[in-house]
Amino acid sequence: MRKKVIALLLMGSMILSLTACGKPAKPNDTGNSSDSSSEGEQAGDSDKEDITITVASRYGSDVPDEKFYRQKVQEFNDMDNGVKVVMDNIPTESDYLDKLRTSFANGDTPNVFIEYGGSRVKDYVESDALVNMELYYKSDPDWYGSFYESMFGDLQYAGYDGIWGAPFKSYTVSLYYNKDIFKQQGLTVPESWEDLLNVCQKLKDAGVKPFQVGEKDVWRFGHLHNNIVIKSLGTEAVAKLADRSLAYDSPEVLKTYQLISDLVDKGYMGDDILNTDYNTEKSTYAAGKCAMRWDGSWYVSEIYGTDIYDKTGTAPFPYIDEKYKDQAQGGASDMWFISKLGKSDAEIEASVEFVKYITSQEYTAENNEVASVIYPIKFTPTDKTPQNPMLDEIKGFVENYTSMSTDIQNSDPQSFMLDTVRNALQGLAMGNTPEQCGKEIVDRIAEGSE
Amino acid sequence: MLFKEKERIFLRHRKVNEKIIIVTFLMPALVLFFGLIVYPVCNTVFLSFHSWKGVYGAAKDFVGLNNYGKVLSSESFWNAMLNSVYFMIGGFVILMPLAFGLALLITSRLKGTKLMKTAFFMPVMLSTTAVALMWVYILNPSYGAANTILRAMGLDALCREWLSTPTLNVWCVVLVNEWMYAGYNMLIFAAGLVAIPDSLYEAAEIDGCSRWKKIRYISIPLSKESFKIFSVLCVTGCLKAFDLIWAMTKGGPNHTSETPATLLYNEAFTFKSFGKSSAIGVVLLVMGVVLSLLMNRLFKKEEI
Repeated sequence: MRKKVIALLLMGSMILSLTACGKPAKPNDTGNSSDSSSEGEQAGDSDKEDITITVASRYGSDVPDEKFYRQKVQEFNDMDNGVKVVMDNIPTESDYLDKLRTSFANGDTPNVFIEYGGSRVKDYVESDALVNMELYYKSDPDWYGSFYESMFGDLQYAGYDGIWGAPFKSYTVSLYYNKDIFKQQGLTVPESWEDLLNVCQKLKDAGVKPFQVGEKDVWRFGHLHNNIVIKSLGTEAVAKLADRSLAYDSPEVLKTYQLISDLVDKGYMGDDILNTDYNTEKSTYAAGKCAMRWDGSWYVSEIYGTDIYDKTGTAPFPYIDEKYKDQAQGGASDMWFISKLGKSDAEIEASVEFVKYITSQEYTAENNEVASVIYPIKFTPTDKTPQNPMLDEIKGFVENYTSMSTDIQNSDPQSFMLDTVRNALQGLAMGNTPEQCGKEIVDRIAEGSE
Repeated sequence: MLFKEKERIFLRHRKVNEKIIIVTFLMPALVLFFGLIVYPVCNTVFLSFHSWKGVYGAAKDFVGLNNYGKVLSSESFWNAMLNSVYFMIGGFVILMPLAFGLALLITSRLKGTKLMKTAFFMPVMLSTTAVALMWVYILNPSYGAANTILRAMGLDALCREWLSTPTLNVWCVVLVNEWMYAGYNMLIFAAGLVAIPDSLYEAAEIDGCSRWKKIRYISIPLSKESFKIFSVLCVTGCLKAFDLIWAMTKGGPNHTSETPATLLYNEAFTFKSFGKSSAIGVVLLVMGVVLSLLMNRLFKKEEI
């Protein structure tokens, strides 16, 4: 008898442990009257118990604004406002996105997360997995008004009315160069593509690497290609590529791949670029082992206060067709999104509260004291804001730009295009021809997502 | 009469009780088996006939055999299969003789076999990520040990970008895989070798057999079961090779070192084509089962 009881208990505990891994609620469950009653009780109990929300981001490194973010989240937790934030910070983009996408597949998503808008989150919007922030913006016009209107572009989708997130950071891509090397070699800052090729050749002849690209991270050529397209075909090409009136294997676009291919073939992009990652690229430049690099304006905050900041000059990315000299890659980059996948109303309210806190003008002004970047939020700099001439210079470029576009494939109707194009461009570093690159992209488009 | 009736009831109760106990003890294993193997496999088969973007709770649209058509007509799938074939070639041409040789060594009467066992088994105990990282550094073209040694020996012409040159990168991972799992497979062969009676070797010695002849005519034929186990594990393992290749190349650059398992992962989590990814999974499952049966039949025929 005793044995039987033990056996039954064992069996029961085994089954219970399995059912504990049960399914979370479906998106539509949130807000339903039947569920909201129990959730209402939870919300009502919030005086007694804190609501814990998980916030996923890539802000895990020691660069000043990421350290500031973590410090402010800690302050938020210390406010004792009934909301506790558990951070999940994964700095490497691919690892971060892998984890995020897995969480969406199994339904156990973070409450709040960072993504980059546009086609990257379109699938989540289509699947009704995100909170439409428009209602919250409407109920708090001051908060809505604190953002620059142009920053909402990558948060809106045709056929899905609403604003699906909150902008947090913005950027523009520029050229950075080592002033000492340029001075030693008697070089002037390249304005056009022709100038750039001349500078690269002179540097190479002098035994200096023009660039050391970290193409192990596929977005490096992705950004290079964005700039080449924008500076040779203009930002209007972005919409044409998205609606396929301009094909990825058309002669105009093949020329853009050819420019990258030429840079690789001539040895201007550096050594072992497929084995070099983004961080190694930055450290190579910081060590004075290459003369130039292109990067987003976030790079300024990363080098601010270091020796390399004083040695670095910046310029707009060289134009290919002078007509498009004043167009550039840029816009909102990091954006906050709130998941409603299996989340209670109370959790969603807490998530909105956190997003409001982290995108407030106060947060931005304080952040600006430790890490000046280009913000999508209007704010008044404090007296403690340090001088940052390089960022001021970049802000000057932005003021002169007549048109900007973020990643080209962010505007694409097919969400897999960003990864498809970046992977195909990586093939150029392996010796693939521009035609192979174009074909790879077009074949995948024809294949569709499924 | 009454006594017999009571005995019959008692025996019937005992039988029922025994059945309850059997079922109760089997239940945890069955629950795990169905929950962790049967259900996921059924779910994958179901998903392979649907289009799903990988958002929990979102609608799954029935697309029939569309995903299978796309997988089987896709160049990337067959490239990945070719890379799996490289893993199998490496398994049978390099790993099998190596593991068998090591097994002979540790089961011999040489001194220091205990140390050898530990040394050969050491890579198996290391985590795959640690092994992968170590080899990524060794094979780094700029500062890695491989190219540094070649340069020091004046063999600059042999220096390569090991992990970013198509095909070569797959072979590099194949060799690391053999290095890592030689110890594990050595144990499989060693288990077979120690079961061979010493009398056979003694008889062969009396007949004047050389060491090589003893291996050729005694050790190899009597290790057939071990070879069968190795073959099945090798073929199925090569089809689902994921961890090492993922940690060393992530299937790149530009998908050149993709195996079916990394392709499956990328389709699901990079391209959000969970239906297509599931179809790859089902194709792999079918291939694995068919090849395992084929291996069993092959070894059975030889027995006849």
